[in-house]
Amino acid sequence: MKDKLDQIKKEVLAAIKAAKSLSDLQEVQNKFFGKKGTLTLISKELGKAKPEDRPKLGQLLNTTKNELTLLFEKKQTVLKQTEMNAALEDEWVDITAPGLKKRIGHIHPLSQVQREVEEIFSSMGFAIKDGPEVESEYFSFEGLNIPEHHPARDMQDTYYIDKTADKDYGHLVLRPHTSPVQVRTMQEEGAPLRIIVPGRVFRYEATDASHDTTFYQVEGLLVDKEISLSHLKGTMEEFLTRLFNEKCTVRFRPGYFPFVEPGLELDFGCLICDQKGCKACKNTGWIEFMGAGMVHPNVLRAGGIDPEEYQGWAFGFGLTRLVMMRYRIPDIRLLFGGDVRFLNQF
Amino acid sequence: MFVSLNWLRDFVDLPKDLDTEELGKLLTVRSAEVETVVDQGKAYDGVVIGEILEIEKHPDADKLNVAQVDIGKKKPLQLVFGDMAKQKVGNRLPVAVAPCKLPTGLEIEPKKLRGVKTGGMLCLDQELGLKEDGVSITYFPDVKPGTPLAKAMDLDDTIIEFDNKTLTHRPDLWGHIGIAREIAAITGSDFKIPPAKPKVPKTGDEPNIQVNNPELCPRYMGVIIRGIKVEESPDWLKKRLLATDHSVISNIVDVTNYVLEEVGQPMHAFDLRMIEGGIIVRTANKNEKITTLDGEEKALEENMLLIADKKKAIAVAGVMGGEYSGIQDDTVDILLESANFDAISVRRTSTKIGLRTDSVQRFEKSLDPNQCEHALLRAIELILEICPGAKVGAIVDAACFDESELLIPVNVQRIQRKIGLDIPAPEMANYLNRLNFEVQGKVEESTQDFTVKIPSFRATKDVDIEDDIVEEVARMYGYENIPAVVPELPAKAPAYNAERRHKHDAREIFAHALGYTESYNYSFYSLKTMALYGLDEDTHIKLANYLSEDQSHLRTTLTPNLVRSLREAVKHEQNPALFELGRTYTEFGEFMPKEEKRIGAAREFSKKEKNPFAHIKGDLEQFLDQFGITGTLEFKCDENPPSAVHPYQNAKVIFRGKAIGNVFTLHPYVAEQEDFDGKVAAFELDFATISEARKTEQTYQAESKFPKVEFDISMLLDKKVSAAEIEKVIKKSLGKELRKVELFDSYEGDKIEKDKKSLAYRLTLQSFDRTLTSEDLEKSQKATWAALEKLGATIRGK
Repeated sequence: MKDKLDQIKKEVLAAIKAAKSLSDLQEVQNKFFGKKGTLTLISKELGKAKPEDRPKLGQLLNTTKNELTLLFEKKQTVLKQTEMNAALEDEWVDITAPGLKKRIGHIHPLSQVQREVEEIFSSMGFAIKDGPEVESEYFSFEGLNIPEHHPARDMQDTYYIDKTADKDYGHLVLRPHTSPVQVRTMQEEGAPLRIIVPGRVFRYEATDASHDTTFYQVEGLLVDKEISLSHLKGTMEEFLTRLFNEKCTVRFRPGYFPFVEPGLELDFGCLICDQKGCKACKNTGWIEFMGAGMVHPNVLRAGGIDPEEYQGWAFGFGLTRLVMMRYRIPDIRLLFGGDVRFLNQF
Repeated sequence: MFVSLNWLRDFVDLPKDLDTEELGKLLTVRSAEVETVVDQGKAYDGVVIGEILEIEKHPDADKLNVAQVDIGKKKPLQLVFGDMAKQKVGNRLPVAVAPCKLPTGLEIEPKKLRGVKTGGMLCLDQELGLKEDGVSITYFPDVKPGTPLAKAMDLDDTIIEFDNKTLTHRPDLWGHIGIAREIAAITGSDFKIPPAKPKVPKTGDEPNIQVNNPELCPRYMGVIIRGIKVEESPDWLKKRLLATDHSVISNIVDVTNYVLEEVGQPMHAFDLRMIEGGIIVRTANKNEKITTLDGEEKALEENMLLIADKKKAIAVAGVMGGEYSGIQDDTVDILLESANFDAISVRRTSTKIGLRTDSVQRFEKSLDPNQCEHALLRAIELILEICPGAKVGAIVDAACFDESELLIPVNVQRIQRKIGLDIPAPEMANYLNRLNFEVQGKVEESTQDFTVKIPSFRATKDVDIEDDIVEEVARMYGYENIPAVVPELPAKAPAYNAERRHKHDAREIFAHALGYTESYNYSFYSLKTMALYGLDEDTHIKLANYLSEDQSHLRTTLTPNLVRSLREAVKHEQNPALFELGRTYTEFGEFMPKEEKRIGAAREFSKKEKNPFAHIKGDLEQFLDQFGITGTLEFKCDENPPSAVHPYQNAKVIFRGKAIGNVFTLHPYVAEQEDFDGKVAAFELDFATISEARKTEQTYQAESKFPKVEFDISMLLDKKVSAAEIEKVIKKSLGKELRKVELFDSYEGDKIEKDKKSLAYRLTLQSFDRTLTSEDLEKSQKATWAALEKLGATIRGK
């Protein structure tokens, strides 16, 4: 029986090899694998073998059958694909033609960067705050230690609302900075306090490539018992390093803002040239970034916080400027309106 | 402000080989921002005096000449020049020798002009940046050819330019003495002010000075000088004025400007002939006018401070002199003013009459009245040096200012705690003393408290509390030496701002799921826009000052500006879709307006689109669904829709019974006015409400184990029977086993009656506790048919 099986195996192998089409293969199927196929018939002869030979022969029969079936199926797949492929040529497509796309919208770069800023400061324990965009003179100026005749209060710089002034809060203005939220939050929540306030601010000034009536700022405020200038440096280095994903250093310069004392300008080391000097940093190695300082005791008092007990710092930087810097946007006016050639790049 | 290094050296002892770049950097981090440091000599590198030896016509160009020029080298330089200024042999003038770069940015390269080699250029004053306008050449007949121009012009100075903005709070830094004192403090160099000691008689020829408003004029010093001669100033004086960006006028005026630059004290000189009966410092009378030195007549207001005589105003105090009272060519006797005016008053007057002079720039910083005296003596000294024959009268000093000392007690630990560093008390004291602050008593390592006397030149505005001392100590210690330390984080998570988070989520849904692009728009629009959109002016907030008529009112709705941006988008994209998250501001009778956070969306469609409303409504529904709003949402037809919306394609969005916005097709008239060819649909919602209502908990809904059954209903009915009504009826007729109602076909048109529509619904039923039978199905169908027939529907295939 073993010899017979070898003989059949040879025949099957030859037949599979010779099959040129699926119908040829069908014949192989009928002749060997079908009900009356030789492979089926030979298994019936197993009963005639000596009992002691049966297990061995049975195993051999099975392996041979499996082996041949596998080969048969392989051939079948090849032939099937060959036949289908002939028909598929009609379905030739130009694979270099662009794919068909669904429209996907774009999130504004200001929103994207704002989100990043919020996430970094959140992870550093800062809560995110909001305040009104139409704000009173009190919260915009007096409360921030900006007295009545300070230049910042001129109509040349600030938008005023055409409405009778309130006897306690003065006129309404479009907030010229996000700083009013400092005093508001101090009044509402007291100390200690750790907040940032991203938001829209307004300046009454003629527009050009780097000035607009409307832009975005991020205010920061940290009030606690032992909060120092060195913490301001640490926090900003940490923030900028996270934002730019590259080690970033900051420096202080003396600056003046009525609501802080000492007042500071904060620059960060130019990352474009590694502080060697380039066009972006005007060859100084430093990029002007923001105003900051220790919160003026008058501002703490306006917020209902005792300056003898608490101290802290505040800062404000231009989110709009940061966005322009990050994406090298040359004209601030691109950020407003519906120029999709700009918007769709983000 | 421009500062001359040579001038500074009169007061501060600086090494000859000072690294001026480094000094600039140091000033920037210790005091105020230095914008540029310019070595005058280096600015003219490559420019020398040349003598013209030979001139020939250019062989191929009528308007060009070829010259051989002696530039101090063995061989003369050949260069080609034009007809701008006629030249003759023997002229000595500046020659730019190629290659070099002029301060104006002009780059000179060796080249050929029409075939003739030229190795440089004869320089006009304008090309060198010596003068701005016209065409002129400066000749140097006595200078040896080959001498560098900088040397020929005696330019050996270094000019430091400060950013004026960073000097706002430092009135003391607006003159060379102040800057020199600051440099001495930060570098530890010696500083001295040479005393001005002109011979001035104690009594005699003195002006009559009357100050009516001492609160606005704390000090007015005047002196009469007779017998001066108005001439050109001497070279040394002119040189310093030019170096600090002043124009040169005549000796007396130049002296006042010199003192301004040196002391930081504005001065004024009057022609004594024009003063009738002495000086009166007073506020303006009603309707009073003055013609200022610039020749313009200015109307004055009653609170403006003037310098006047008995009959007329002769100067606007601290701002500018009058046209007729100033120094003339034939002036012989003068009155010299050195005064102190109130900062706020000067600034206000300057703003109102639109004059911002060097004098205003200084007075508005709050100057120290004590410096008037040195300034006046220094001016007298200089005038006597220039006009040795002049006779000085007695000085009149009308002073009414607080001369008390400002003492500030400080606590060492508090200063350390604010800086974040344990700077020892003696070190603090040392810094303060270097800055001319007088530390009272002895300060030792163990000192906890001490008192500081503030010098008068820092005490006018800048320094008045302990925190100001913190600044002085910190900057002298060096801000760069303060370590960066991250504050310890409280183990408490910061308060969560859900609304902010939701805004970012809403952006993701709009952009990445619905295909809308985010746009930012201004908060203002115009009366014209309000009229077009039929918006009520009374609910609007008007600005008191605005840049253009387009931006006079604050928006009460996002739509108009968003639609306008959509129009801009149409230029570059087919059927664009935009959204915006922004605020609206509505007047409602209270002091603060109602400020709402809103979300708006707008889409453009082709003209052929029959039902843009359905699309925008679908977007709105998908947005709310994705955003996760639970609660009843209804769309109600607005009985009195705003005129800007399509009267038959608009709805109020009602959420939990409260109107939270609207959804609509823009009225074709508005679309046309806004220059659209296609159609526009939009919606706007109150974001705060939906953010609040956003579902925070969600439970998984298990599916039923029993099979679904479906049946279709096709019907003909009146066009105006709403889908909402039909759905309501279907739901009621089928009860709790109804799983889904789906409108899968709708038709209006020629094949049916005009006021009718044909609708087809597929209804899905399923029970949670049993398999529905064919009897159940039949019963349901009948119930639904009957209910719909009550609405007037004809059921097909019943």
